[in-house]
Amino acid sequence: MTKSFLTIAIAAFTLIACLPQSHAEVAVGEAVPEFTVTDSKGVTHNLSDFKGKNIVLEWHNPECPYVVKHYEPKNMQGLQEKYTGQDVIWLTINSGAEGKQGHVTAEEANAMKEEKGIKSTAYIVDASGEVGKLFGAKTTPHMFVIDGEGNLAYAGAIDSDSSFKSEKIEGATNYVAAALDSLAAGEPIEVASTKPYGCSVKY
Amino acid sequence: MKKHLFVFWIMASLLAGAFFIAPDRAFAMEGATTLIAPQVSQPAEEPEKYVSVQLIADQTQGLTGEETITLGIVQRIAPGWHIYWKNPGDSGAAAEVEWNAPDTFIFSDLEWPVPKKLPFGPLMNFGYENIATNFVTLTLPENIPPMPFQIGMNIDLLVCEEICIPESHQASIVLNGTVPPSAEIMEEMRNSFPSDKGWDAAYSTRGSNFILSVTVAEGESLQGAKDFELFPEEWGLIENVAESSANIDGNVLTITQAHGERDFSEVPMSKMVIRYTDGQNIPRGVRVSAMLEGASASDIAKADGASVDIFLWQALLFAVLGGLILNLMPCVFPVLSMKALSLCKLKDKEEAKARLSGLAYTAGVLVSFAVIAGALLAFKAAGAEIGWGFQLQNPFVISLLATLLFVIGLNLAGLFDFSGRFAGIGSSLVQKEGASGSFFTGVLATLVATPCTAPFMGVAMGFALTQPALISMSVFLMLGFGLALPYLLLAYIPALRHVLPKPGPWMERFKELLAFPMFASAAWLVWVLSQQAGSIGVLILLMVFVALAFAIWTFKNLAAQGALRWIGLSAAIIALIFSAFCLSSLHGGMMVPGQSAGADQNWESFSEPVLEGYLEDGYPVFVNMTAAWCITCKVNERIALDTNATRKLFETRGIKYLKGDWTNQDPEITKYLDRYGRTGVPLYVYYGPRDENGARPEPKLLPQILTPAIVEGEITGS
Repeated sequence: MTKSFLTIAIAAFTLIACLPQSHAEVAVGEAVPEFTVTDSKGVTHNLSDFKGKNIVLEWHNPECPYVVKHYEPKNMQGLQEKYTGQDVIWLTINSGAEGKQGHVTAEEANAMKEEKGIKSTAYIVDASGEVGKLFGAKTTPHMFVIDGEGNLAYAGAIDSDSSFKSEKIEGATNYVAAALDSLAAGEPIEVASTKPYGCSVKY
Repeated sequence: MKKHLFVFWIMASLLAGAFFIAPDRAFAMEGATTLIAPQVSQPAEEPEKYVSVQLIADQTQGLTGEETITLGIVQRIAPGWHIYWKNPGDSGAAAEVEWNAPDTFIFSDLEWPVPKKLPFGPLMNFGYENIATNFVTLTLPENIPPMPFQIGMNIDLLVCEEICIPESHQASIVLNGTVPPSAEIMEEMRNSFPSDKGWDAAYSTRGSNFILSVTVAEGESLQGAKDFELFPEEWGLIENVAESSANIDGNVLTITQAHGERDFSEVPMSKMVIRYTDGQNIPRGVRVSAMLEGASASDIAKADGASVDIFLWQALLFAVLGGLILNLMPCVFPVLSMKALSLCKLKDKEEAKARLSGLAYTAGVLVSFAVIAGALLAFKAAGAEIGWGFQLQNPFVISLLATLLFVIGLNLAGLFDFSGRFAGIGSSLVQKEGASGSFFTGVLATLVATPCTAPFMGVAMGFALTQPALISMSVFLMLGFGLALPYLLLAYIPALRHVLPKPGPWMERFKELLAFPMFASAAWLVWVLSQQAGSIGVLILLMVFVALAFAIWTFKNLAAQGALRWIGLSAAIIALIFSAFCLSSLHGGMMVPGQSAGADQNWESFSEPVLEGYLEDGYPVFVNMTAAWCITCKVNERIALDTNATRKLFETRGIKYLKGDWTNQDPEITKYLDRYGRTGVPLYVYYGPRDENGARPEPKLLPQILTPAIVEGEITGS
C-alpha cells in the first residue's frame, strides 16, 4: 500500500516536474514571491515585512549530521548571532513532514532553541513543506540569502567543505557570511550559487 | 532488467567474501594489520554501522616495483540503505578517501560504478544499494623489497535510509603477503563500471530543457537500447528528479531532461554517465565527456529529422550537392545551359580561354555567395532574427529578381540580344566568352538561384547558421562551388564538351525554349509578391514588366534610325524611370498580408499567446510554419495538410491548427523556429493531447517532407 502510494507520489511529482515551471519558483537574481509564515511562537511574518533588510533562510533538521556539524561547535549559532546583530533577518526553517526524522512541533522547536542556543530571528515549522518547495530547498542545511530589495542573492551550501566533520569548518569558505558581507558593503556577491550539501529535506 | 546488474553484484560480493575469509590465518606471522571481514571488525562499543568496507586488489603477490595495480574498495550496504555516487544528486554526499601509504605510492582518483536513481519524495539522489565498489589505480614506486607491506585507507561516507548517518571506515590490504589477488572478480566487476567510449558528446540548453547529444562511434551501435538514464558528474545541469526522454536516430543518441538550476556557462565540460539496457537486455553504462555548445550539430540534424549526424565535412558535402542540384532549378538551368553551349563553340586549341571562362564563372558565383552569406552573418551577428531565405522576405528583392528573370526570359525568347551597351549584368550569355562576361554570368546564376531552395540545402543551411562565422562561410562557399561545378568541369575537361551536341541552328530554338522556365520562375515570384505586397504590388510589378519590355522593344527597333531615335529613346527612358519608380514603391511600406483565407479555413494564425492558450486548455495543437516563397511548404500543404482526409482528422480529434506565415519577417516565428533548432521553414510540430494522467507528451517534430500517411501516423501515434 505504501509502495503504491509512493509510486503515485513519485509519478505525480514527475508530472509536476515535467511541466514547464518545473524548477523551484525562485531563482538567484530574481525577485522572491511574497510568502507568509508563522513561527514557533505563533507570530506571522510576511516577506514584505522585511523590506530593506537582508534575510537568511536556513533549512534545519536537528538530527541531520550535517546540521549537527554546524550546531555542535556553535558555528551556526555564532553566525546567527553575528548577523542578526547586524539587522539581518535569519529564519530557521524545518520542512520535515510530521512523522519524519527531524520534524519538530512548535513547542519542541521553542525548547530546542533554548537548549541549543539557536539565535535566529524565528524558527519556522513548515511541516507541509510549502516554503521548502517554494525555494526548492533540497538539503539540510540549504541556505538562501534574500537582499533588501527582495531578490534572491545566494542559494546553496553554507560553506565550501561538504564533509560532515566539524573540524573542516575552519578553513572552509563560508558562502553565506561572504554574501551577507558583500551585501552590507554594497558589493557584488562573488559566489551566488553553489551545490547545497547535507541530508535530504524530509518532505 | 535493470536488476541484472545488481543480482550480479550480490553474487560477486558473495564470491569476494569467500576469498577474504580464507586468508585470515596468514597475517599474524607477517606482523601486518590483519585483514578480516569488516563485519566483525567493529569494536563492540561502536554504534552499529550500515556499511562495511573491504579493500581488494587485482595483483597482490610478487610485486617488485613500478607495477600499476587496481585496488577495489568494496562497500557492502545494509538492506534498505544507500550510499552516493560522485554527484550525489539533490542531497547526500560522495565518499571521500584518504590513503595511508608513503608519498611514492601514486593513487588515482576514484572510479565509480554506474549509479542508480534513488528517488526520495520530491528529491532525486544518485547512488548505490546493496553493494558498490570503487576502483583506484595505484602506481607502485620502484624497487619494492620482496616483503609484505600494507596499504591502508580511511573512507568517510554518508549512508542514508530515510535518515542519514555519516560513517568513517578504515580498511587495508597486505601486498606481497599471502592475500590472493582478486583479479577475476574485479574483471567481472568491471561490467558494472561505465565504459569510457570517447564518443563525441555535446550538451546544450533549449528553452527549459537540457539536451545531451551523443554520437556513437563508427562500428558501435545502440541498436535496440532502451531505458536511458542520464547522470551528469557536474551538479545542477539537469533537474535531477525530472523524467528524461531519449531518442536514437541513426548513430545519434539525444537525451532531453529539464534544465537544472546552474548557469551552464560555468560548466563548459562535464563527464556524464548514461545508463541503459542494451539490445540483449543487459544493463550497460557509458561515460562520455560532453562539451557545452550553443546548439550542437547533431541536435540540428535531429531536429530536422535527418537520420544522419551532420559533421562539418558532411555539411560541406551536402552544400556541394545542394549547389549541384541548384543547377537544375528552372531559374538557373537556362542560364547555365546557354553558358555551357557557348563553350562548345570553342575549339580545343582555345583550351586556355575555356579554362579562364570556367574560373571566372566560378569566381563570380563564389563572390556572390560570399556577399550574400556575409550579409546574412552580419545581420545575425547584429542580433537580427533572420534565417535562410531572408533575402526573399523583402518584396523589393522579390520584385527585382522577378524582373531580372523576366528580362532574361525576353532575351532568350529572342526579343532582343544584349549588346555592348548593356555590358554588365550577364551581358554575354552566348556571344562573348570574355572573363568579365563569365564572371557576371556567375553572379547572375547566383542571383537567379536564390529563390530556389533544394531539399539538401535545408540541413546544411541549418548547420551553417548555428556555427561560427568561418564554418558558416565555408558551407555557403561550398554551396556556391557546387553551383559552379558543372560549368567548371566543362571548361576544364574538353572531353565533356565533346559529349554536348554540336552547335547549330537548333541552338536558337533551344535558347527560345529556355525562355519558358524563366517566365515560369518569374510568374512564381509574382505570386510570392502577391503574398507580401497584395494585389497592388502585383499590378505594379506587372506594369514594370510591360514597361521594360516596351523600353527594350523601342531600343531595339528605333536605335538604328536616326530621326526617330530620340523619340524612341525618350519613350524607353520614360518606361525605365516608370519601372524604377514602381519598383522602389515596393521597397518597404506596402506590405499587405495575403488574404487568401476562405470560409472553410480550418486554421488560425499562429501567435505564442494563442498557442499557449490552447495548450493550457488541453487541446491538441498542430503548428505549421510556412512561407509563400517556400515551395516545400506549399507542396506539403497541398499534398498532406490541406486535404480532406487531414482536415477531417484534425476535426475529429479536435486538433487546433495554427499556421505561422514567415513570408515576411516575423521575430516571433523566428524565435519559435529557433526553439526547435531550425533556421527556416517548413516546420511542423504536433502537441499531442493530455493522456489519462493529464500529462502532455513531448511535442513531436514532423519531417520536412510530408505525406498524408506521415501526418496521420504522427497524430494517431501509430
